[in-house]
Amino acid sequence: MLAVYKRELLSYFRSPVGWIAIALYALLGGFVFSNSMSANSAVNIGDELGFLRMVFIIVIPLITMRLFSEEKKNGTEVLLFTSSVPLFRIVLAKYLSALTLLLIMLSSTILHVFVVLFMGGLVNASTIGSFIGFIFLGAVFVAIGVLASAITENQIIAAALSFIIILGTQLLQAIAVSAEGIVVSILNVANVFRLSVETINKVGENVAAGINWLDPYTRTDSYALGVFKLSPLVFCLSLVILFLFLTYRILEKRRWSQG
Amino acid sequence: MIEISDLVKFYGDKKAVDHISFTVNRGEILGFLGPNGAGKTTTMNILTGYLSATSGTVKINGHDILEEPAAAKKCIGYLPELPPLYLDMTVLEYLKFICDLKSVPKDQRIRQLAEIMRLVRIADVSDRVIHNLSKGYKQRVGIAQALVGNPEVLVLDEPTVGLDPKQIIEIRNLIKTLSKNHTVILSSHILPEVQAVCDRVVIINNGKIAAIDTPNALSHKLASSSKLSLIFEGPLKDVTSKLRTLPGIIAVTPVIEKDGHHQIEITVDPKMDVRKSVFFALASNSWPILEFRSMDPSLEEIFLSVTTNEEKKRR
Repeated sequence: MLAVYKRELLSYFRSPVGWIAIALYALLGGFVFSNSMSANSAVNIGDELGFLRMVFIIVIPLITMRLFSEEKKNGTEVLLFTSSVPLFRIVLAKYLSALTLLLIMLSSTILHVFVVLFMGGLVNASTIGSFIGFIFLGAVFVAIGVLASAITENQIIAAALSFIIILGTQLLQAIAVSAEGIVVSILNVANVFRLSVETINKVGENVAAGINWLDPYTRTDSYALGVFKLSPLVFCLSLVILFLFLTYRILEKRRWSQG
Repeated sequence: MIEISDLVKFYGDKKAVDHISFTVNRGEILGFLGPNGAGKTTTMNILTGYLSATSGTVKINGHDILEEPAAAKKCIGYLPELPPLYLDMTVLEYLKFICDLKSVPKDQRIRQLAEIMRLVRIADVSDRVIHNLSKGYKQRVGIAQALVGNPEVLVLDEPTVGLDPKQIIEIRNLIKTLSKNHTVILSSHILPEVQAVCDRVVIINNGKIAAIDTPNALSHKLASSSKLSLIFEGPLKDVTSKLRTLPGIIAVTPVIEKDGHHQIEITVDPKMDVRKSVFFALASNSWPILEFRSMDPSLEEIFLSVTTNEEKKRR
């Protein structure tokens, strides 16, 4: 398992992918940092990270797209699957390699923390919380990228797929609001169940709350306030396990497939 | 060593592998012969644990590939049709990775890799990136990969495809050398290749086993269709009528005429050797023989022969 992890991580740096991802993140991070520094003369690292979530949309598909798709295309998949390493360990190794690259990427932000400290800025529990929340989000999205990469042997499709899903989660709050509106207006127009206005509004609110429940951003928001709750950790970890399990099942199914 | 029993694999409605059973003994080279699409690769993928069979079992050294995959896979070195190479690594990096993957003990690693690289002759390219290697070298790196960890069984899917004739001979010799310490299953759609290296041949067609036998026994079965090809200078009509009178010759068919040379195909009774009498018949009339050879039966002929024999038996 360690062999797969090592090979995978090193291969990021044999190709431009790893370098591009790190450079892209450092560039955008640096841009945001220096911008807010010149504008406010004080920098809130938490706000910076909040903005940098956007970068996930591009960077995570970039670093996960080839994980399984390339193996399938080059025929190296056979090598891994006929080795005595169990399949779930291979999935885990690949996931961890991408996560490691993500963490290497994030290390450039730590530099910003030192700059803030050096300049007498504020680094407190909320900063650390923002960091942890940010890493949790990244961990979930990498798992989504791994899944997308196992679905197809075309890297571009894999990247597009994870791009759409990650973008979708960014829009989840907006989706929740419009879904609430749609549900309420439909129930108002076609009130087959003869519900009162209050009940209809309640239904709408619950729909929105249901969608928001899925939103990893609102989930990890409490960390940015310096509140370390267990539930975001459990939520993100569950999502990671779910996506990795699906990846495992998809790869396993391919072996048994008769199509 | 390897027991395959009643293997079936469906792809949709198509039976890619249809109740295949055979065993391979320790130290044997088994040839897996069949046209493209006969089910060779599917069978190999199943017995190496890459695919799962619809039904049937595979046992490697007593370990069932489904029930004890780790133990069974440890015994196998597999070279798939497309060598599974990471093109961005150098040969040495790649082989070290394979050592890690197959958990070869650290202290044996250097000795084993040196031995393998000597055997398949890739030591001179060990520092080059695989992407830049020629097809022949890539194939050899693929074989090296299968040898890492010194597995008892080697499964080689079309190991010589796409190589030039010199490389083909090298690879064949290599396989023969390997068979001293390994059990080898190799697939091919080239008959002479299988004849050259294998102890036993499984002929597979449409997912079914058409014949299992030694190469000699198979060519013996084929003897009933032996043919000779002859190119000579002289009058075609006289020659053919002369040849037809000779004992043991069943048919004479003209093939082509070029620059006054005629090529004919002679179908002969396999029980008689007519080559001398053909020679003297032409020599006594001063018709010079320019070329005279027995024709290798093609794979198609083998199939026709084997399958028609099977049908006859059934009747």
